[in-house]
Amino acid sequence: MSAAPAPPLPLPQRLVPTAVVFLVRGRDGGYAASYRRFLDSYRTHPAGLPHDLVLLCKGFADPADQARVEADFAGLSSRTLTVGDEGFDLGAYREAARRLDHERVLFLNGWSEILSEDWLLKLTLNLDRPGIGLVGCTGCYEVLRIDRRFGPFPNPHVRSNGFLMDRGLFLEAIGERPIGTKLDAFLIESGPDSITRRVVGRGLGALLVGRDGRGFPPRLWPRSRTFRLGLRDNLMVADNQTRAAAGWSWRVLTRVQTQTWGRYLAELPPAGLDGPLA
Amino acid sequence: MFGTGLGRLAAHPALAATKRRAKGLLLAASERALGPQQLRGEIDSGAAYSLTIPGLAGPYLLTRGPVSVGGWALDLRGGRPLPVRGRVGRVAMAAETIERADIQAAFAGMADLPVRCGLSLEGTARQGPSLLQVEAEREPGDWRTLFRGLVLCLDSDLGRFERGGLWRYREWRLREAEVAAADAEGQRGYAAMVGGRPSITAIVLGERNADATHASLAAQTFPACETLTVPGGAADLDAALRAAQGDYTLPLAAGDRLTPDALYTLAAACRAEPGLDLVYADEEGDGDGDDPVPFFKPGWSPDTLESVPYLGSPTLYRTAALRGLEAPAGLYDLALRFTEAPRTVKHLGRVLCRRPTTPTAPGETGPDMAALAGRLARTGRTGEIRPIAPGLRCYISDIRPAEPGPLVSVVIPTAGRELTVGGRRLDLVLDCVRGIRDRSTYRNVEIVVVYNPDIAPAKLEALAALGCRTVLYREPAFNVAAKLNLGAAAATGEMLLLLNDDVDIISPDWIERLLAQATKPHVGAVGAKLLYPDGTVQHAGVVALHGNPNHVRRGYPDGDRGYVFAAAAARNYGAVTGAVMMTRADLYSRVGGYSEEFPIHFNDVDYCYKLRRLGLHIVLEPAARLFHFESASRKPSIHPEELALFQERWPEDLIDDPFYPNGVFATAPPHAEIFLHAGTGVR
Repeated sequence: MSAAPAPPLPLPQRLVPTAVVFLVRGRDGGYAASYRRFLDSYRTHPAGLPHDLVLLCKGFADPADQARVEADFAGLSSRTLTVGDEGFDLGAYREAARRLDHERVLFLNGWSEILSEDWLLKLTLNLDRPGIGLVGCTGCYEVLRIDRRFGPFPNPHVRSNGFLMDRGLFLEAIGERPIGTKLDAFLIESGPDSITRRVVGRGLGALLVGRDGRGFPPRLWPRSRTFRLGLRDNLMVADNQTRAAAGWSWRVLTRVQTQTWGRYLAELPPAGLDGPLA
Repeated sequence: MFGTGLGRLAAHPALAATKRRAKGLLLAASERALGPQQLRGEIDSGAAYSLTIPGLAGPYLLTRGPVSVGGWALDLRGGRPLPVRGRVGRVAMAAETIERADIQAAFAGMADLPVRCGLSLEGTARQGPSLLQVEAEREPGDWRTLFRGLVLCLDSDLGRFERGGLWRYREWRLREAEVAAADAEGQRGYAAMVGGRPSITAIVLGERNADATHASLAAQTFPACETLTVPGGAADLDAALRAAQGDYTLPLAAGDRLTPDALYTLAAACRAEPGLDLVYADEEGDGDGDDPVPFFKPGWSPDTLESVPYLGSPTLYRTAALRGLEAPAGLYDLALRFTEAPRTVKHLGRVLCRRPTTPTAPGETGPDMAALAGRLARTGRTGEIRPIAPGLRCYISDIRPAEPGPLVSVVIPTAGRELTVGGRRLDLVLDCVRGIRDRSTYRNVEIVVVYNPDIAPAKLEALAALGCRTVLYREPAFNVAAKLNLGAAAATGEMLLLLNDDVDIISPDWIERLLAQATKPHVGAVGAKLLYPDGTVQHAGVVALHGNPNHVRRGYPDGDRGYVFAAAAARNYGAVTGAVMMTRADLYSRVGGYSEEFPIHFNDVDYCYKLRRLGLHIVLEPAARLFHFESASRKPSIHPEELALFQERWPEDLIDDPFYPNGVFATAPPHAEIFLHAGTGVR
C-alpha cells in the first residue's frame, strides 16, 4: 500500500508569527493520557509551518504533576504559561492571549488529537484569504436549549477547540466578559454574542477547515464531513466530543446530527447564512 | 436476524404515531412494489407506447409532490405522436410533446416520425393517496388508458427538521447541482489555494462524442493539469498512461461527461487521504427515458470487480502506481491489473459523471472476458469466463478447482429435528448429510455434526454410517455459536463450511463455487444464495440498515439479477448468513470463532465484521445455491439483548453499509430499489 505524502501545499506569502496554545488542566481526569495522545499526534503530523508551541497549564494542585507535563513537552514547546483554574477553557485562552505577543493564536484543548499533516498550514492558508477573520476545525448550527438566550436556529458558530485567528481580534471578540460558569462559556462560544458572531459583525467571515484543506463557509458546513457529520472522515483535529460519536448507534447519531444541523443535512441553507461571505 | 423495521423514523418519538401510519402504508405498499419504472405496451396493432414514471414502484408512485411522466405514445402506421393527457386525482397534468431525436432514430425504417415525438406530463399530487391516470387519444374522441396507479404523496414535516422521505432522482440531482453551483467559486478558490495539487491528468479515450467529454473538462472548478486525447481509444491507452504527468490520472471514455465539481471532489479526497491509490465515484447513464439512470456503487469490492466492471467512471489512479503495470488492453483490464497489488481504495458516494450508457445495457463482452481471463492467469487460476446472458457485462468464472483440493470440514450443528416441507417428511440433519454425500460433486469433505444429548441413538448411528464424525454439545442452554465452535475445534480441514441442517442442495458444485472464492487470500468468508422452498430468495447477502442487519432482496424471484447484477454473480457484502458459510480454519481460530455472547442471532454477522476488521472481504457467491427452510425447526424469536450487544460492539459499522448505502437504497425492507432518503448526512 502507498504511504506517499501529499503533494506540497504552497506556502503563505508572509509567515505570520503564530502561537499554538495547548491547554492541559490538572483537575481533568485522564489528563495525562490525553496530552500524551496529543503529543503523539503532534509528532506524527507535521504542522506545515513554523510556529511556537505554548503549553498552557491550569488546575494542577501538585506542582510536581505540572512539572512532569512540562518535561514531556520539553524540546517541543517554547514556553509554559500557568493560569488560574477559573474561567474554563476560554478564560485560560484569554489570559494566554494577553500574555503572548504573537500576531496569531491557535487554541487546542487538552482532548485534542491532530489527524492530518499540514494542519497549521491548511488553517493559515484559509485565514490568509481576504475577508476571513476566524477559521476552525469544527463548528455547528446547534442551538443549546439550556437558556432562552440561545437561538434561533441555525446558529453557525465555530467551536472553541482548534480555532485560529488574529490575537488582537480574539481579545476583542472575547472581550472582558465574565466566565464564571459553564453557561458563560457556552454563551461566548455559541450564544447570540458569540466570538463567531462578533467576528462576523466586524464584516469578517468564519470558515471550517477540513482535512482536505478546504475552508467551508457556514452555508456549506453540513457538507464538510467534520463535526457530527457521518463518519467525520474530513475532520482535522479530533477531541473528546468527536471521539464520543464513534460509539454512537445509528439512532443516536441521527438524533444528534439532526439536533446539530437540522434540515440543512438535506437542504442548502439560505445564502445569508454566509454573512459577509455571501 | 430480525430488523426492527422502524429505522430512522424512530428518531422523532413526538410524531411516532403519524410516522407509523405512514410507514405502515409504505411497508404495505412496498411489499407489492417490485416493478420497473418503465411501462411499455401496444395500444393496438398500429400504435404503441412507452412511459417512464420516475418513482414508480409496481402499481404505485411515491412522491413529495411533483409527478411527471415521460416517454412516447405513437401511431406507428401514421407516423405521428398520439395526443396524451394525464390526471392526478381530479387535476389535469400539463401535457406537451417534446423533441426526442433518439425515439425518432429508433423507429427509423419503421415509421417516419417527427422529431417532436416524445411526451411530457407534469403535475402535482396533494398529500396522501391519489389516482394517476395517463391516456392516449387513438382516434379523435377515442381515449385509451395507458396507465392507472396509486400516487402516494408524503411531503415534508415527518419531523421538525427532517424533510425526510423519498425523493425522485431528478429532485436529488437538482439538489446536488444546486449545492455544487453554490460552491463553485469556493472550489475554484480551493484549487488556487492548493496550487492545483494534487494534479490530475485526464485521458480521453476514443473519438465518438469526445467533444462532450472535453467540454466537461473545460468546465471543471478544479482544472486538470493536462488532458491527453487518445483518438485510437483503448489501443493507445498504455502510451497515454505512461505520458501522464499529473499526480493522479483519470482515464475517461469519450462521451463521459464529468460534473463541474468532479475533479475538485476527487482532488480534495486525495488531499484528505494522501495515501490513496485509487478513487472512484458514482455515475449516471443515459437511459431510455428522460432522466439519467444512477449507478450507486458499493465501497471497494475486489470480488465484485471480477464479476462486473463496476468501477466505471470516474476512476482516478495514482500515477506513480501505474508505472509498473504491464500495458492494459482497456479500462477494465487496467482496473483489474492495478488492483492485483494491495492498494488503498476509496469510494466517493457522489454522482460525478454521466455516461452514454448504463452498466446493465447490452455491450461488448469480448474485451471484458479477455481481461478477466488475464486476471485468472495472473492469479494462478484456470477456468472459463462467460457472461450471465449474451451481451450483458456481468460474468461468471467457472474456475477449475485444484486437485484434490483442500479438505473441507462441513460443520453442522443440529437439534435432530424432523420437518414436513412441501408434503415431504424430512429428517433435517440426515437429509442434509445425504445431500452432501450423494449430490455434491466435491469429494474431499469431512462432516462434523454437533448434536444435543437428546438425539435419537438411531440417528447417531445413521450419521456414523454416512461417514460423519459426531460431537456432543452438553450445555443445557441453546447456543449455536458455541456448537459451531465446538465443531470447528474438532474439524481437521483447511476450510470450514458452517452449515445449517435445514438446507437442501440445489447446485451440485456448490462447494467448488464457494471454494473458488474462499481460497482467494483476501477473502475471509463466502456465503451462498439461499432460496425458500417456493423458489424465492431467502438470502442474497446481509446488509446493515440504520443499525440493524437484514437480508437484501428477500422474497425476490430466484432469477432476479439484483441491482446492477448484485444477485447474479459473485459480489462483496458486509456479511453473509451463517446458514451456509465457508471460511478458512486458520482465520476462524484467529478471530476466536463465533462470539458465544450471541447464542442465537448476529453471531454470523459479528464473525464477518471481525474478518473485515482484519482487512478481509466477504463474498456472496450466487452460483452456490441451496434451499433454506429458515428456522423451520425452531420457533423464530427476537432477542433484544443480542441486538443491543451487537449494536454496542459495532457502532460505526452499523452507521451505514458501504455495500448498500442507506441513503440511496430502500431500507424497510431492503429490496435494493433506489429510495433517495433526504439528509441522513451519513454520506
